[in-house]
Amino acid sequence: MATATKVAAAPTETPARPGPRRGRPLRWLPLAPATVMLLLFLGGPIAYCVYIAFTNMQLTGASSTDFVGLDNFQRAFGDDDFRNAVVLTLVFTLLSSLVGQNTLGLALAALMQRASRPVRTLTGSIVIAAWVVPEIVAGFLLYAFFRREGTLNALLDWLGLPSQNWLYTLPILAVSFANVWRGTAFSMLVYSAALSEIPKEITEAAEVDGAGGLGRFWHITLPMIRRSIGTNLMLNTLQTLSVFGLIWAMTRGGPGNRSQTLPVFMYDQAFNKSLIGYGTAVALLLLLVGRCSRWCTCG
Amino acid sequence: MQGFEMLLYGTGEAGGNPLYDPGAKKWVTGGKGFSDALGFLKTVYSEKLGPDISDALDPNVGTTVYSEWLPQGKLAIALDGSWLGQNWLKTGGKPWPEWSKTLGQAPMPTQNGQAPGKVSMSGGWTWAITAKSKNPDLAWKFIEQLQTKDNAVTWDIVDAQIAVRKDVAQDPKYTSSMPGITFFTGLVKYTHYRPTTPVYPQVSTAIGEAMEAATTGDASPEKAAKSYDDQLKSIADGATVAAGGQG
Repeated sequence: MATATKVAAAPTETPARPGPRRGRPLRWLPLAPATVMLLLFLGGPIAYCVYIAFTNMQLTGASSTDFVGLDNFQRAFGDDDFRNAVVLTLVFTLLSSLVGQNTLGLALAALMQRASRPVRTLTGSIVIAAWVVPEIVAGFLLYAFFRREGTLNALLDWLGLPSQNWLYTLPILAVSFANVWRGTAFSMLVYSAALSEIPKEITEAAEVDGAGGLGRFWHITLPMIRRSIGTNLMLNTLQTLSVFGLIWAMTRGGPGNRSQTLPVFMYDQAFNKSLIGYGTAVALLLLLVGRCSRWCTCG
Repeated sequence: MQGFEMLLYGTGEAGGNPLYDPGAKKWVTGGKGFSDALGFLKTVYSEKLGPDISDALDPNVGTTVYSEWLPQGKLAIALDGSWLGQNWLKTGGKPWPEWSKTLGQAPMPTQNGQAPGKVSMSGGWTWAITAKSKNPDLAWKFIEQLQTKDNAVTWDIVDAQIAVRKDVAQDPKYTSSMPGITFFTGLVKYTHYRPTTPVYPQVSTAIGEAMEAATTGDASPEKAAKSYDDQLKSIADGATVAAGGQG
């Protein structure tokens, strides 16, 4: 038996070793077009973007482009407007993504679980409608809602409350609210799916043990959907960090720079001031902020 | 916000360069005209001669001016340009064909009525042949063809351009093409052009910031002008000249 296995093992081992080595390039062959395309159209622009961030390229054409090392990044950290944009981006993300979309989405999903079918269908379709309209349309809808002659002030007038130009007095709050309005549906969908996955028996068992509504939510629901919370927080934050059209349509980052978040700042530098090199460097920094927030929410 | 540069070019003596000295290729700092122009804007907004500042800073105020304020008689003076009438064509954003019976035109006077008495700002464009052209002669012939008198007249009419050529400006087809066209064509000889340098977009933004600071009351006109000067020095990389230093 021993000799038999030795003999049997020998012929299978010898051709097996060079086999995969010879086969590897061949196996890769069908993937080659896809890989080339990815490198060309996905990797290429990214590499070019990183390159531009280290140059003083301008869109006005006249001057030559030089490699300037870390100048753009140094400039960003010394730029008051950049720091202002970072702070506003954090406020915007905290308010609209973490507090707004996430909490409201969870609350809506929890309430909808207990609601009757018609209420659920109606609420669901209204909330999702806000999510389905294109960003620029949502931007103009909310611009019309918040502006001086807008719906919100008409409502406040009707209630006898003082009205104001929200886009001028509280621009960052107005755009944060707009983002909540638009993005809550996504969280709601994620949480509705997560909540329906919780087995009834566990909730019932807790009920039998004497847990009240809040206790059940805290000890059963939250721990059981914590993975969904993590995923949702991450997706929400990344989406909110890159919101541009909504803010651009409502305030263009103004008045002054009081609602100028990083994407708006980046656009302003790159395309209004034609400093594409600097704008791209800011884009890379934004990428870094997104990366950090991912670590924060996902661990 | 816009309109600042027209005010600025209306300060100082005729032929002055209050923004950019094209001869020395330097940007002008510390000009009295600059803080005067900011002061004018501050007066307009702080004495409620203009719209509320929060409306003036609305990103869509331009649309509101032509679609609501002027047609509804809520605004008496719009410091605007020849293009405004295009919005009121039958095919425009807010059809109002009888606008020319309600609205008239007047040139912006210079700061103290000094010569030449009127001031205007113009944009501009040009036909150009790139230095790398493989067939510059044919391109030149093409431009010649475009710029025959008849073609230039047609182009100015269909694109609602203001003629800069005397022969085109006198053509009856051109002078009757839209209301107000003879008025605006008459301003061409008083008009100024923005500096055409790569850093101009940044200067323009810096001017916008100075305007906003002065009109919202965040800073006095002098202080806003000072911070514009500081910004200008870093934008122009030192290529600046103090207003007193120029001829």
